[in-house]
Amino acid sequence: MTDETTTGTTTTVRSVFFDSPADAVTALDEAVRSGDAAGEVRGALGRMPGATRDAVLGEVGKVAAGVLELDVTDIFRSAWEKHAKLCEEAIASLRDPAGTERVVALAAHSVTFEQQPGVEIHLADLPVATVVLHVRLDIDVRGLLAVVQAGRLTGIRVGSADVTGALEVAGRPVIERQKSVELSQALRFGGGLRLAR
Amino acid sequence: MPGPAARPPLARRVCRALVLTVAVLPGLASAALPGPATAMPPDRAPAFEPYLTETEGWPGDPVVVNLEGLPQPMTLCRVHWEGKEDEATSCEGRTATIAVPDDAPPGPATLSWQVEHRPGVILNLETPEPQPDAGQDPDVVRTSGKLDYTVRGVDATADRDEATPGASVDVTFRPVGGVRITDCGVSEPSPMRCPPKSRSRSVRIAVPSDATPGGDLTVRWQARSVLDGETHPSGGSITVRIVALPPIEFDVRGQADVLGPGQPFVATFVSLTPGVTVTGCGLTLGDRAGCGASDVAVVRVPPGTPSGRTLVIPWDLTYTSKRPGEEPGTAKGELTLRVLAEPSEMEVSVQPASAHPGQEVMLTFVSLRPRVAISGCLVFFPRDAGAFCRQSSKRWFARTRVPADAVPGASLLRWGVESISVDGQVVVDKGTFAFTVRAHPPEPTSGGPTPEPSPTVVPDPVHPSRDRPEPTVIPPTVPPAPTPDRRQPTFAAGSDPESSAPGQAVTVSLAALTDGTTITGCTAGFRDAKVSACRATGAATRSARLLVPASAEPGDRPLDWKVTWRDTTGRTGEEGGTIAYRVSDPDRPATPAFRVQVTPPKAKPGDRVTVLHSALDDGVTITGCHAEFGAGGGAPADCRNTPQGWTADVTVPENAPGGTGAVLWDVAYDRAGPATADGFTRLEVLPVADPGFWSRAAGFGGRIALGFAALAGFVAYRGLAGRLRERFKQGRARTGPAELPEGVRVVATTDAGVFHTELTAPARESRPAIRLVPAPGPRRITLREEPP
Repeated sequence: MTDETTTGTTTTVRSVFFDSPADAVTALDEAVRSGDAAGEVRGALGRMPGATRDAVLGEVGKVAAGVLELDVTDIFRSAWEKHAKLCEEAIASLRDPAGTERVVALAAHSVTFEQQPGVEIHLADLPVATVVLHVRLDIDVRGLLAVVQAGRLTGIRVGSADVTGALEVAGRPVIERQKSVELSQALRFGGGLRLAR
Repeated sequence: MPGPAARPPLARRVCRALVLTVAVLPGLASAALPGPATAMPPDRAPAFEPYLTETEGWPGDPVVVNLEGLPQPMTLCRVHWEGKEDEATSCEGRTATIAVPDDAPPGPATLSWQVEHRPGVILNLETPEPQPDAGQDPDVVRTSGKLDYTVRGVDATADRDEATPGASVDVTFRPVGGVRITDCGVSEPSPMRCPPKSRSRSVRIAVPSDATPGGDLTVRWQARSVLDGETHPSGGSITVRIVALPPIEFDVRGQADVLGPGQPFVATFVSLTPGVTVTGCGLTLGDRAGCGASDVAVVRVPPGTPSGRTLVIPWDLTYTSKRPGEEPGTAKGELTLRVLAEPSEMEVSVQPASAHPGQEVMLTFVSLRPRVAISGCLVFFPRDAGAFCRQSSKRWFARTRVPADAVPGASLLRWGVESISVDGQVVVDKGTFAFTVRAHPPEPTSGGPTPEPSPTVVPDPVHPSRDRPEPTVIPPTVPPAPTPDRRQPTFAAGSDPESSAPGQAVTVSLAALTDGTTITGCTAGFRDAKVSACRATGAATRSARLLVPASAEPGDRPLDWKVTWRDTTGRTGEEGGTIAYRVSDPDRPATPAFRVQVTPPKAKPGDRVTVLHSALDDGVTITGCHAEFGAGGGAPADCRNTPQGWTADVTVPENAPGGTGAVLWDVAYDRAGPATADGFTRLEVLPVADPGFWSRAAGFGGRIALGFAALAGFVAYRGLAGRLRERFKQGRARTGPAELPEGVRVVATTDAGVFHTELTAPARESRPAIRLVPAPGPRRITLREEPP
């Protein structure tokens, strides 16, 4: 994830698995072409010319790579909305008329993210085949000092996460990878993540 | 007494003495033979390794070669730079000093050394190296070697060996030997210096546009570099071969290789060479037809052209070029077109006769061939996804929509039907209508529509989708799972009634159209609802009865069916498909469908045809109708009520052009109140050779509109109809070149949006027939907190 964080762009699920969008396209294209998905797509387009089917397959990998461009901040947001201590501090911060920043030390915790995005192939507006991806991220968060203010999580002072990711295409493993992420750089808070109202 | 021959010869005695000497020498050598010769190692190979005191230096710098350990006595010792044997330097003592040539290019250099010496003794006769030089003094041993050296300075390289006139060549300067470049540039072909204080040490030069291909361009460069406060100049030249510009290429192609008499032939002209633009073009078939603004030309196959003839259609174009030194020019060539009359035997009706963007249009198909059953069909407007057909007990029909942002005016409505005969032969019919897209959506009607005599001014009938959100788009019928296996049986799925309200019953009928195929089982059901098993109604037919889900919203809802089958060879399989079933709104009944038969379906100009109107929906009574020839020129004919039905006699105008024509009709009917509907039905006008076609074609909207419309159809035809044609080709003896692979473009899109038929910009991106849509899919995020 270093590439994204240093360039100031969003850290995505894709970057857990692949160092660049091009790498993602290459790997997913190969996975789609060599796996069961290729047979399904070719079957769905069976009466079309071979070049057409190949062209479709050639595009599926690109679209699949695009599906992975999901901001990991959204994952943490969804998880931390359920974190008891964080939410307690957020509620307490709402009662603070001075709006003081509260630095909250969180115990180690883990987040599991699973999603099954896909690429639907539409023929004349009808979905005739779907290439399904399966993404799983096991995230172990350590040493987190979160900043809470006015009911919002406004930043991370320090903290890291060990991310173990597994990606499958059409039921076939494509890649497993581990990465360590410095959360203060990887996450984008903008105006803060609302935890309490 | 021994003779001379018995005595050992003198040479043999000398050899014995030498061998003896060698035998005893190892014991004597260390004690009795001091000096260099006695210090030779046992392997006899020189035990010294020359080395350089400095391995890098500037041109002109002295280079000292250290030859310590050199065996003595030496008869020759010299060093020289590789390739400069004539400038060798002799050793002085155990060193040799040689200067780096002033013209030595920066970079790696090689220094050669040669030594000859006369060893006092030979200790190892089996060692092959060094060997006495044959033809020289056999007692002299010559040995030599090479030493690596780096000449400091700046090196320059070009990014290419060849370039065309006007092209750019990048010259990059590279420091060699740890120096830092302080200045660089080229003096020829034009002076240029490296950007000051830039990390980029390169310049870009332009090859003169008048450079002669086949010649050379000499790039002379200079640079200065510094190391430890010492600055040195570097320079050199680079030769770039001048090559000619690549030949100009154009892609001129016609819409098809085969067309029927009277059909428009569309050709596109595209420059494939960057910098070259087509400025004018045209086709010549009789008269010359110039291109429009989109570099498309249209000519019409003469209606009287005999079937089977091959036409040679010359094309020409003019172009301009931005490539250096290239003048405007012309190009010409020929396209060939085979003329083949393909009579169609399909009755096609379109309802309504015109529509506004977004409005639904329904086509009804009836095969006029005996013992031939329709197996599938497709209709589409240019640049739209189109729709597949579905079947009811009364007809084959397809519902499609005018693209939401279609430009008002003439557009094309294309259709294609695949039929199968009882003996398994696949028959194809296809055609095009000029469909009128109206400018504005109709005003909502509060009561029953009022009959109007003219179909073009009739208020639009109440449409089921009006005033409601756009229903989910589902193709009316999805063809069975496609497969390249031609022996795969074909099935037809129908539903009755064609539309029903929530909670009402629907009968789904499935029939095998391929002879010898038996349906062994089947199911049908609305998606996400209960699936019903079929019951047998014959060896090749099944039917299932199901209910429209009570919660179904008005609009199209997918109804899936699946059959298992067996044929006479024992082969078994499974097929399935989806019907887009129209769930009707009880409060807003849809416009009833009418069948309009034109008899005969083909007529020459001046002939009279009979137009018979009948209602396809129960409870609908026709109360009056009119009909007229669609392209204008004929008077509207009132219907009369006959025992056969409501009938009108229409005369094909004498000036009607050959090809696909249409009979426009409008019907006044009663269904819980008076209302009207309109549409048109296909009438094939048999071509009659007539050079004055264009003046009469104005009835379709004019020559320009026809040309653009044909083009728009062509573009869509290539990109969309290929799939239909691909299916049709399987059953046809005549097959043309596959068009889709060349023009196919699969576009990934998150929102395909709505595209329209823009006749003036046919090259604009079309709505893809195949779309890849990212689906986020379900996600799950869980948090596990460790206990405090």
